Amino acid sequence: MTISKATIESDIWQTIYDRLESVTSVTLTDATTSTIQTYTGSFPDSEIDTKSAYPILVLNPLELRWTDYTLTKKQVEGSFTIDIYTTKSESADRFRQAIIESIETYRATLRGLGMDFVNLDGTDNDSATRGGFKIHRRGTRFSFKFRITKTTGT
Amino acid sequence: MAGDEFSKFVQKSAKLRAPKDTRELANSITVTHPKKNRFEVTVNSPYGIFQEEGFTPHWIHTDQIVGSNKFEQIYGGKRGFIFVSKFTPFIKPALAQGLINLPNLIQRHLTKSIKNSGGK
Repeated sequence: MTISKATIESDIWQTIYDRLESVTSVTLTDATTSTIQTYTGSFPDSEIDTKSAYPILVLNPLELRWTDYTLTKKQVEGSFTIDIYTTKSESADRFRQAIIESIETYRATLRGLGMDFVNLDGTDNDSATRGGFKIHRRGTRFSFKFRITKTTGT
Repeated sequence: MAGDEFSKFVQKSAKLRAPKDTRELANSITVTHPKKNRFEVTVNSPYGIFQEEGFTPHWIHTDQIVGSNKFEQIYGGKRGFIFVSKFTPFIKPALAQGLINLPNLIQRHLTKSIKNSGGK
């Protein structure tokens, strides 16, 4: 996998997505195992009221902005948000922990691809009752920096 | 930007809470950035306001229901009048949840701004 300037957004998204596919299941305190049913780039609306479709992991689209770095380079400051939706609060917490660990242990590889300063920017929580069950969401936001060489003459 | 993150949180939370009979309501919740330092969460569906604020219970004819899967499941496609009384607020609960997370969000962005400006 390489990350190129022309396809930076899709390359980074795919790199992170591929990594997140290694987060598959967690074991809860009652010794049961919870396994992710869906990995996706946006919340699957059609599945929202289907309890068996959970847990759902969503890697949201990247957010990117440019700043000047040197005379010949631009710095891309970006962030990506990962949401995990489950029907049990404990599994949501454990999945988030697994997601953070998965990204943290991948930082050296990401650095090799040009993504520097990959950091956990923040987390958030949400829950809502739908039909006969409660959905728990745990959000995780990571930031990163990536440098690109400006096109000559710009 | 804190405003951007907050409004996206509210959007996400509102979508999670919105009734999904036809999914039109959830899909109509959008975040816009009309001008600097201003973010707007908008519900474009015309019946959003009634789900949020409620309405006087009333009878409707089944011919007025468009694209509802639940209707087919419950009534088996029979035609006639049905009584409508249930509404589900989705913006205010989302906003309330967002406000719980807001202090952390502001703190995080303040820290980042101070750091970016050369402070510690």
